[in-house]
Amino acid sequence: MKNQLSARSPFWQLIFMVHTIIMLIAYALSDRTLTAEDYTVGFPDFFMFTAASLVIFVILGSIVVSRYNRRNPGKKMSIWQVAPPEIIMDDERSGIISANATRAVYLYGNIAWPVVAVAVAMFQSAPLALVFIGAAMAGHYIVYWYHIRTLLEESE
Amino acid sequence: MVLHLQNDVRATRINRGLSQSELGSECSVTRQTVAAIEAGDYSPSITLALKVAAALNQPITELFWLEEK
Repeated sequence: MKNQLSARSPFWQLIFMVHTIIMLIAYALSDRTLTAEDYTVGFPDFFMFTAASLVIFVILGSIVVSRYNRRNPGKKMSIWQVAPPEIIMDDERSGIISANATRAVYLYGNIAWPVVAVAVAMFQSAPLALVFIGAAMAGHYIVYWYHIRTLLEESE
Repeated sequence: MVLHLQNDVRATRINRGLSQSELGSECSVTRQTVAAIEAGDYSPSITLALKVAAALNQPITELFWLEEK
């Protein structure tokens, strides 16, 4: 089970995405509006909080990645790499499993996003819209995670 | 009639005195992929099947065949 949370798990992307959506919902629920003073005097709290969150995620990511690199010297990864680490293409079998997982995510999106569109149109509320969008986005990672769980379990 | 891929990779590998990791590194795949092929959980591509056959010094038709199930 602990391998399911390795540096190559979609878990980290999922946490980052959920955190972002929660921040956006909190902002949408607050009565805070940006004023001219925010731009002239300094960054408003929201942006400061976002920047601080990003820094924390980069530090956390660096720790997780360096621990992974120590355990897997032959398969080093970088926190700045373009390809998401959860796309595992170590050999042809892992490539096929990743490709099937990607296909499953695509099929999921084909169903989830129209449902979200209908829900947003029905409820017409910005915070609720963010909840629906966040849930649909989280679903992408959960579906992908479910399909590559074998690869994560096998990772050393 | 449904045909399934069968193989004799495990027995041949053991006869040759190779571990799954060694066979995997000769064929540029992970140990887990070799294990999945041996268990019949994964059907390798033609390229990989040929690599496995070459690494085990065995004709491909003696390592992999189709069988009705």
